[in-house]
Amino acid sequence: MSSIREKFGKRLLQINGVKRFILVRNDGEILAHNLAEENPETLSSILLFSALNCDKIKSGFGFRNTKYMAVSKENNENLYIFQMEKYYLGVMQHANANMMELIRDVSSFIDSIMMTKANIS
Amino acid sequence: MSTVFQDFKSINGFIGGYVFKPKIGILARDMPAVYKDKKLSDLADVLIKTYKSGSLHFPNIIDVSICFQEAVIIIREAPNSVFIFILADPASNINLFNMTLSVLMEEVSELVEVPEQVEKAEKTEPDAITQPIKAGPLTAEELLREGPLSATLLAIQDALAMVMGPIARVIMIDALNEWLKTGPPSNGAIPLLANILCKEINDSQRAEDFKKRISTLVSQTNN
Repeated sequence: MSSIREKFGKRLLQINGVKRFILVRNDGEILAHNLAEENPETLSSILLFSALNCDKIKSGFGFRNTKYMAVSKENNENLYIFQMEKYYLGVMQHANANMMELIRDVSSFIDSIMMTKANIS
Repeated sequence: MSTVFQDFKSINGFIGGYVFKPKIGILARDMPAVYKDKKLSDLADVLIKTYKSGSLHFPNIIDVSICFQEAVIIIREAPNSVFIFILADPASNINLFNMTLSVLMEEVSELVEVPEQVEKAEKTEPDAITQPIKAGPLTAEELLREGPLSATLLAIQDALAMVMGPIARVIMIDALNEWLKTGPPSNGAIPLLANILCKEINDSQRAEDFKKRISTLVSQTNN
């Protein structure tokens, strides 16, 4: 029987365009990933550091919610960082993926998880 | 005066932008007046750190963008360690902004070679965002939420949103804080609030558009 973390990864990888992912808790613990070339520890640090800065930028500009952060790369294998309460999800896309569709689908996936969590609690 | 933002201004959803070089400061800006230079410089440091955290790990980085509910911020590094930050409506065509950025990179980097042309907008003005709100019976948020002026102020905020996009609420709150410092809020003082908002808009064309949209409201409050 697969664990919740495995199910999470399996469902995430079913989204069109998702190549790699990493799920990190805000204390730095890596909960799940399927990284191959990337070092999970390094990437988790980037996620946490970026999320911290996003909060500073958000309050500095007077904005309310952060939706996501995107790192665009020349090879088009962009990295997206999403916040899920105390967790951070990093998603790397396939080079030929449609950016807007991927962001929309991953955001919907996150919303569905958060909604399920809210219903359970 | 730099023309670096002229091309962006013609793109739907452009909110503002500025060019920054660490240790030198702001080289050019076209931001809503609500964001003072000191605030933008402080934020530039955080924006650059965010970009650097990505570029250290991904040498083939093009840019970093952060999508908030109210705006997308695009961070890009030009040659000479010059950074450009663009704020745009999240619903706008972000690819168009990225393409324009690519075309303008050289022009942006050249700004650092002419430091005497540094544009310092409102150099002597205090940072309004960090100014404490004058104590009073109502805060800016409360004025919008409740009380006899709420409906009028929300209508003004809606008009502002038509001109400035999702950043309107930020500008409105800042303007209300300024307005509260001038005296007790009243219908008779609405024209003064309109003037503060026009100053905050910091763009003559948009300010004119805004004035037209609220002209009926302002004339009603005068009666």
